[in-house]
Order: sequence, then C-alpha cells, then structure tokens
Amino acid sequence: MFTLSRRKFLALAGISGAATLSGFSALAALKSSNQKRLTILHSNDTHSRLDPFPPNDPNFPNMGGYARRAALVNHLRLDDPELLLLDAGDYFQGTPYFNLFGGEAELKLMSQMGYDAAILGNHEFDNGLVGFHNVHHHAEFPFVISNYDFSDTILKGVTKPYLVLERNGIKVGIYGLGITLRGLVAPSNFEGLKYLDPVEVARTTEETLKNRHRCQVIICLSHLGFSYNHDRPSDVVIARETSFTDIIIGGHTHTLLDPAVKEKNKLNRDVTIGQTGSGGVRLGKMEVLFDVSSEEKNVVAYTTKIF
Amino acid sequence: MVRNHRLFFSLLISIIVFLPACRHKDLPREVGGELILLDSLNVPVPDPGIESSLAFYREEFAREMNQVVAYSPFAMRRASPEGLLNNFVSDLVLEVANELYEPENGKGIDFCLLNYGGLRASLPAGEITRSNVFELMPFENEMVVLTLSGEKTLQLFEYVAGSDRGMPIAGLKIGIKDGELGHVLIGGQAFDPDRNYKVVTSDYLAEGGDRMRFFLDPINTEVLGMRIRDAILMYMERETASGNELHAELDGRIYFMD
Repeated sequence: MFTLSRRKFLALAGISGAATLSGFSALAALKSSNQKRLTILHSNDTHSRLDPFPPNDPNFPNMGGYARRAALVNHLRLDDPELLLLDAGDYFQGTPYFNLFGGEAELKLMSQMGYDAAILGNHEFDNGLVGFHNVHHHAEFPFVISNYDFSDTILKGVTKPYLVLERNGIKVGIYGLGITLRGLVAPSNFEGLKYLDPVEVARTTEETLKNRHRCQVIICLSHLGFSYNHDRPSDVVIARETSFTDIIIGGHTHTLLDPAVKEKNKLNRDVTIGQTGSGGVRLGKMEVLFDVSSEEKNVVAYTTKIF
Repeated sequence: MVRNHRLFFSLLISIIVFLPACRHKDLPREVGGELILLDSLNVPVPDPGIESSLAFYREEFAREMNQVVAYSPFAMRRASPEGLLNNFVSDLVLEVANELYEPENGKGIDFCLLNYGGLRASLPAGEITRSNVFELMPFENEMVVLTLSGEKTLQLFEYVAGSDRGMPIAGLKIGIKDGELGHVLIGGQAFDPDRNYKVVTSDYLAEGGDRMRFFLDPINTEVLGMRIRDAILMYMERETASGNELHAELDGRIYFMD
C-alpha cells in the first residue's frame, strides 16, 4: 500500500491546489495498484438546518447549512463522480422551515444535492403519516427502510426495503433500520405501522443482499442510535449480531464518531460505524478500497496516519 | 471551491478486512472513515445553485417568522430542578388553558405538567420573534386536559420528583427528599389521595410520551383545540398589546428538602 510523508502531501497540495486534496488517499492508491474504490458521504440528524447556524450560536457559529454541504459534495464528486450520498434520518424538524413547508424544502434541496438514499428517522413522523405522505414526492431519491411495514397505511409503496446499486464497478446493497416509535412519536402519528425487530430484519436483509444480489459491499442506514447502556437495539448491537454488513451509517443519538469506529461482527470481521453529530455541521466520508488483482485471503491489518 | 487543507492533518485510519468467504470472487478491502467540518475555512463558498433555491424559502421565512411578538428583559433558559423557561411556559399554559376550559362540573384545571425535553430552544433577552417561539416549541402538540385518579396523580408527583431533568410545572410545589417525593402542594392545598385531579398537558405526553405512563387510561380526556405554540404566541401578543414585558421568576416550585 501507499505511504506518503506529511511533507510530500503538503508539497502536492501546493502544486496542484484544492482539487487534488479530497481524494488523496484513494487516488494515490488507485494509481499504484489495480484497485476499485467506493466513496460514501453521509449525514444524519440535520434537523431542518437549511441555513448555517446563526453567528451567535454558542456551539456552531456560522457552521453547516445546505449550500455549504452541497459545495463540499460537488467538490468531492470531482474526485469520484460515482460517490454515494446517504442520510440516516431526522432531516425534518428543528427550525421553522419545517413548520412552514412541512419538509418540502428539505426534500427538494436534498434532491438537488443528489442524495442517493435516506432512511426515515422518528422526526419524519412529526406531522404524522399523512404529513410525510404530503411531501414525499419532492424527494427524487428513494426512502430505504427495512423494518417498518407500512402495508396497512397511506405510506404503502412509498419506501423500499433495500436498494442495490453499482458504483465504480462495485455492487452495493443498502438496507435501512428505523427506531421503535413508541414513546418517541405520538401513537396517532404512526397508526397502522408494524414495527419489525431490527436484528432479525438486518440478518434476513443482509443475507438477501449478499446471496441473492451478490452485493460486494453492504451498507446499513440506521436510525437506531449508536449505543445504549441497556439491551436496546443499536448500531453496535447490529454490528455484533450480523455477518455480512460492512458499514453502518448511523443517526438518532447525535453521536460524533471521528474517525468512524470498528466493531467485530458474528464472524469476527470488522464493521465500520459512522455518525456525524447533528445539525449538518459535519459531513461524513468513508472510503472502501478493493484490490481487484489479489485473490489472497490473508488478513492484513494496518493503520495509515497522514502525519 | 473547497479549501480543505485541514483534511491533511486529520487522521485517516484504515484497516484492511476480509471479505466473507462465499462462492463468488472475494476481494480484500479497506474501509476508512472521517468527518469534515462544514465551516467557512473548509468550504468558503457555498453552492450557488442551492443558495438560489433557498432564496424562495428564506423570503417566506422572513415574512412569516421575523415579526416581533414580545419583549423580554432577560433571557429565559430551561434548567433543573427549576428554570425561568420551565416556569414561564408552564404558567402561561395553565393560564390560557383555564381561560379556554369550560368544565362540565364547574371545576377548573388544578395544575400543568409539560416535559423538559419539549422546550427545544431558549428565549433571548430583548425582542422575541415568531421564529424564537417556533424554535422553542416546534411541535404541533395540542393542549389536553386529563382527569386523573388520586393514585395516578401521586404517580405523576413521584415522576416529577424522581426525574433528573426539571419538569415544567405550574400550580404545584414539590419537595424532593433523597431523590424521591418528599412534599407536595396543589394550588397551595395538601394532596388528597381520595379525589380526582385535572391536569393540562400536551397530547404527546397524554399518549404516554417521555414514559409518562400515569397519563394512560385517564378518567377523562378533554381537548382544548389549541396548540401549545399558539397558546404561547397568543399570550405573548396579549402581554405586548397591554404594554407589558414578559415576566418569569424562580419561586422554588421544585426544591430539594434538607
């Protein structure tokens, strides 16, 4: 694999400017070996923060905002035009934009930004199933959720249990796990929704993606929350209890995972879990590298530090 | 353009893992993950396409939300066990609810209980805009009046006393002793376990939200037909029309007993 000294990196930056910066790791590696790359950008709990936080915000002054996120995404697309852009839920609620437009603005602008998929968080139900139904057509991307059964509700057919996409010649499977809405959302706002056990659904769906659809990378979009003290299903629990899920893009608990963390799955292999905090202040970026030429099965674990 | 030179210094940890063995060709892989801060240093120029789409929504936002509805001489924040914001909102909800309420038996609402988590933003000192009120209470929750048995009312008091977050209450005085209910007064009177009490709360909590299970299966539920946010706006506009600034104080309605 590649190694670059910090000095060499800085020199590179000086010569070729901003456009080379984002793709430093993968691009360097791709040139030196026969590799394929999958780039995943992810957001969660953006909570209707269309504008940046106000200048007097105690935590995030002038940070975030859809237009800034879009600029970064477009910049990273120069490096990998086939990157995936995913959201792990709760794009609704938090600023009066949601009260005024019911989610229309969020979904239209996420579509303009080119989101590939999003899951439903609990706040997507704040105006009830009808409220979501009223605005869902503004989304030009699919809503992926595997453990909500909407078949007896107005949202029947609006969501997909999983997606299969191909990016840079890599077959990617995406499924979604939502949190139980009991205690979080008024029962009248999700009447008729059947909630299915996330661990069971994760196992059956990853099996389908792996064996039926031959997916090479399996991503779980989750709004379960990162981790709990008690036995509640969480991203850590899903990682430990599944066998083929490679990546969990999480939300709900507003957890800042920088860098993304690793958990061992049932087969003692690594699952990468990412989450970006909240309010759209940060964008998550993951890269998956495939060595096409190698058929070796030896475990090589190493750490690359850009220092 | 993006000037993300900071990214150079950020740590990228990458670990090669194995593909699970299966029939088709397996490929070793590497997964790395990092977060990129969306500030003006990393992203100095926001996307013009999104900015132009936002313009319509921003205009509407300014027209609807920038109107000043009240003036407050001080900032109000939520706090535990008691906060200015907790008291301000619960007091006005009890007041407005009692004005709207037309009881069948002539008995008014005894007290108010809302939830700490439902106060979503602080109110600033000075001019309060509609936007401030929407951020404080973004949810569409409505006021409901529940009639509870003495037994369930006691469970409610125990919940308030046992919570580590300051629950917004009005019409009550609750003493906490060793993390449990030590003393309670309702409208200045001692608690009578043999009578029913009327409490105004939100429909969200009435349906058992925030684990307020004592609200489930009440003796009676009456809907007042007004959102909590609209009650706040109505109250503020009325105060302003009367020439009053907003008022709130800490009065020890939830206190720790020595």
